[in-house]
Amino acid sequence: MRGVTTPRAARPWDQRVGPVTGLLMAAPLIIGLALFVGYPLVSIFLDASSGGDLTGRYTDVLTNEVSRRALLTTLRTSVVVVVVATALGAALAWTLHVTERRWLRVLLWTVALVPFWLGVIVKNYAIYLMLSANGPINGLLLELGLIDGPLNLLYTETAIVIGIAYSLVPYAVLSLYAAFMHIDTELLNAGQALGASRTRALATIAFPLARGGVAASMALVFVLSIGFYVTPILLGGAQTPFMATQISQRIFNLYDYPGAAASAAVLLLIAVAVVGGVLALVGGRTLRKALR
Amino acid sequence: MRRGRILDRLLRWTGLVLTALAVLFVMAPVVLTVVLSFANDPGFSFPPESWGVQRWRDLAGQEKWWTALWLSARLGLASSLVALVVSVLALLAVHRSRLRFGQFLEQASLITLIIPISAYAVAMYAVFARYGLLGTFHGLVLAHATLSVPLVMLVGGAALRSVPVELELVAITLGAGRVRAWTGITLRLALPALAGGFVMAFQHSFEEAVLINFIGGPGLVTLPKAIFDSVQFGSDPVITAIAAAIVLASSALVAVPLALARGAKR
Amino acid sequence: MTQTEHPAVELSGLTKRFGGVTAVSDLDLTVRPGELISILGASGSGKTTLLRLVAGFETPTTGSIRLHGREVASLSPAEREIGMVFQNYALFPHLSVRRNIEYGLRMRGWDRQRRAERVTELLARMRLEKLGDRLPRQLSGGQQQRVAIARALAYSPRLVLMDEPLGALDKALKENLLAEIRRVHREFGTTILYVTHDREEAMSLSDRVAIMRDTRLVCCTPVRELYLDPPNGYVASFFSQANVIPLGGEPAALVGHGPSGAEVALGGRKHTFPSPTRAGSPGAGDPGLALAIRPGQVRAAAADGDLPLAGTVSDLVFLGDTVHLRVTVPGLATPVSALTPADSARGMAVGDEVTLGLPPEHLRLLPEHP
Repeated sequence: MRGVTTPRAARPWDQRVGPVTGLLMAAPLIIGLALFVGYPLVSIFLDASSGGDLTGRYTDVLTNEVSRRALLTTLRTSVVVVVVATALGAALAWTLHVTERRWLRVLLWTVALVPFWLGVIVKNYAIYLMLSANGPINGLLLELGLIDGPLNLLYTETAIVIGIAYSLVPYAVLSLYAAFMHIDTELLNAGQALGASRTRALATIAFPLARGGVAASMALVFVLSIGFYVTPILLGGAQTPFMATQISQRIFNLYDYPGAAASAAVLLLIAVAVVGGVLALVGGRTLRKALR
Repeated sequence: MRRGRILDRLLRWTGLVLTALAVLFVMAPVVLTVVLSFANDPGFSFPPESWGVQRWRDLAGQEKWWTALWLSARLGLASSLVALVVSVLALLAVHRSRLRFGQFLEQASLITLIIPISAYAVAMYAVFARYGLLGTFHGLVLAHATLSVPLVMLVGGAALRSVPVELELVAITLGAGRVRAWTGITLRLALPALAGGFVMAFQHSFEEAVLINFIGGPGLVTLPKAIFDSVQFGSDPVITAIAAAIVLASSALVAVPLALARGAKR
Repeated sequence: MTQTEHPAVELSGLTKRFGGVTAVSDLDLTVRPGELISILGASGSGKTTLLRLVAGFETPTTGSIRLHGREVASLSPAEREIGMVFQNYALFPHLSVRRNIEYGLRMRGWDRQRRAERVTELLARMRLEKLGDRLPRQLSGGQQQRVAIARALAYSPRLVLMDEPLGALDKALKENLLAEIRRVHREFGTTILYVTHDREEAMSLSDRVAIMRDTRLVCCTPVRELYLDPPNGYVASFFSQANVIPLGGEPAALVGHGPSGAEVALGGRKHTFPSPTRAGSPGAGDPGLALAIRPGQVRAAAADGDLPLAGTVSDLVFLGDTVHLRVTVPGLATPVSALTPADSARGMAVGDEVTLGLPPEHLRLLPEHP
């Protein structure tokens, strides 16, 4: 029988299936990504420059009084959100990382994940109730005699910050926890044993190790924050225009789709710039880790 | 040395206060919602002046909530199922075929996680108008599945990587075909994680409140949209009950994947 | 031709390259049916790749693999009729012990009754009767590996491949399972290809040992012969743990070569050894030759007729009846090991100058490298 080659001999067995079968299996995802992610994102830019007007609508977004204010509000608010969410998230994530008490871990994980699991509407509605004129905060302040009449907490930038930060704390906690996970607390003890104060040990040992992860986490929070739609409408109202509200108004009230596309394109470009910047700074692996 | 100790104490207290603040910040609104759902006052005030289950009774009696809930449930199930099937097939292609750009594909599928949702909604609006999918149920299913795919890809990809490749090899030497080894061994072992991914996808779809405003049209009112509209155009006290219901249901939903994850670890 | 006349495994010119890296090069090996062969090598020597090639998990770059006379290049691992045992056991964690063992039978379409009978038989023969309904995670490492072996044997494959199956076990369990594998091999008469990096495992287990080094097969010889008459310096030091003294001039040199053999000078004395068969025609001072002697045959003090080797004691370990000496000898990169009766090393201490005795009848002249 030696020397007889069967037709199958030409294709030896391989643990993995062939590229064609693989392509077929991946086809639904590839087609889905092309139709519902790739094409829409490209079309924003095409629509923003449609009708022979290449840059006019972008100029409008950046110079028009109303949309300029919206853009600045969005960016300013998002920066504050990043600070708040990162501060709270870091405190939670670090405590989760170092604590050995079981009940505390359970409590903090619950706290970290509750806003994740509540719908965005329910979250904002709950905050709406908290901040409303006869809600608990005003009630408490009145009771204590600190104020004479209810404060206007709703429909302010602060309200938006609170609403968005509330939604994004879980993202901050999860991504920061991933960054802290690899810091050996023994290292800190070793640092302290060598005479460094706790603060110094944290600053010189823990922070440099977590820096990349923290940057990635902040970028993630920022990018998600500038896209918020529900919160600005429910908690910000008409007085505090946000990019998302602007966009919605352009489409549904002004029927100016290309204008909306230009606004969306600006948001997208800001997101790409921020993510790209962090990517260049910390590398893809860290960013990917932050996503989990 | 002395300055260090003061700084240490300051740092510790800042950490404690921030942690406590975070706990309060997260829990207070949730607790408040549940508490207020049992208030019987006609409007809002805190603390409530009268207690009862009137709001829950009203909720049970209003059909629009049930219609919205039913739509959201169908949408969540259908879109999560689509996302699961598409992702599992793609993950197998990435990890079990000689497809060259598999790694790239896996990364690319995560892109919707990091684009601003309102920009994406604008993009989907135009494209859906072109596809004729605006205001259609299957359009919404596709849109929600698109948003859920990265979640399943992340969770499922990690699970697939954690199954030792030897298990499949052994199964194959024992006579199993590739597909049998995938389904009977690898996917079977990844099942808890995939179920977790499915629950995450469902939850994501169930709470989605941005895209629906752009591509849902007037006819399709999901539960978040119904609440959104109601809150926007004057608040209806019934909403406290529905929000409380979602809080309670979500808590139950959180427990399931946690239990599954614990089961998988054992 | 009947099946039994074919070798169980016949590898010829087998080469595997991953990109630019060669893992197995130009390897020939023939295994008789029913034989138990160990493939011994350090990590990175290519032994696992060799096993994966035979199993069909990898495709050879060139060369052929014949199992029981059949060229298997185009056959899937399932069609090669092999059983596989991995170091990490690779038991299906979601299936009970019984179900694990039954898996292959199920896949091969055995009916329920036959399956049950076979599984019961295997549980009994592997002494797992009481564990049939447990899940793998409820078993100890040794038990898990017994299940893995039972699973591999279940459908009576003609060839079983084991990839460092005892690598994750402690020493006592290892001894135990080695006996078990020897017993299984005797009782089932299966051909076994056993990959390991542990020479003691290989020695206690196999009919023949194949040693791999740097992607190549160095030799494949019955274990006793390999140990007593290593073919070259590498095998002598790696497998027999012998002292290998290259004839590089200092302290040993080749001074003459005649029909009666090669004349070697060591420690001021000369001795003529029979020429090694594999050496070409070495001239004076040929660096390709070496003397080898196992530690147990080195005397702590040179006696009459011994070739003397002077050096300094650098380490001394008391083992009870024997003492393990390490002696640094000028000109040798590694210290010379001597395992001598404790009496003969009485009073010796680290730092002492000693003259070891190498009895010529125990010295072997062989090529230094394969």
